[in-house]
Amino acid sequence: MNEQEVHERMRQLGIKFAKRTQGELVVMRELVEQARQGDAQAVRTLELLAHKIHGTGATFGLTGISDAAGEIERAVAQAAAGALAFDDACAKLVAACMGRLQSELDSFNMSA
Amino acid sequence: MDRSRLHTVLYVDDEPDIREVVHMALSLTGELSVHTCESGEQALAAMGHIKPDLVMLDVMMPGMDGPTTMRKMRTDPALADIPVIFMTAKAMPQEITRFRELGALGVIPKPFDPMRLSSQVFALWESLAE
Repeated sequence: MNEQEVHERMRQLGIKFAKRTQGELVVMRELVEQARQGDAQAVRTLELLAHKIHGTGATFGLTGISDAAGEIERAVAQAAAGALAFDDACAKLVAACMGRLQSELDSFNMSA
Repeated sequence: MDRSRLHTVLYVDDEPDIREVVHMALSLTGELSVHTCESGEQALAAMGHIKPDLVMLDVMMPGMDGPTTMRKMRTDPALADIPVIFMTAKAMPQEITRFRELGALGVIPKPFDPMRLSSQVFALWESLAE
């Protein structure tokens, strides 16, 4: 496999990742609802999902998607660590970040 | 450390696309036999027959995370001496220090350049001899 083939495979995997991330956004919305009801495991799962999207998106050079997921990860970090409650303000912030992630996914899908 | 002694690498990550990229990247030079696992639990079970020279662990994984996987390896005499490299998107200085204190050979930050990953791994491997 040469460099050009590696980059082509990375591009294909990036498209696949974006499709999967769209599905994960649905899961994340459900996790936010569970987190609002005091489910600590849901907060940790939300942080883990956001972390994965952040890291994987960056690996594929999908900076906007990665950055938006990084914002979600930071927004839930203190709640995931148990330092703060996942309250309405936190849920609102996460929802705004998820809106940005959706916009980034829409932009990527239009250009892919 | 003799570069030729690094032959078999086990990469552990729950993210399937990253496993594929790492497998592809480490296979580019043709020098390495690369295996992958999707969890720390699966990796610990597989190490006995894969017999890796080096284990590369994602840090944040559901279930058994990377640092816990490494700690489990260190309590098993058959796995205790296998060098470990962590890969993480949270490569902050304090985290890197923590991983080194755990006994990790090194840390490779994510995102990584697939065209450079092998050379980063070999550089860390060769640092074992220093």
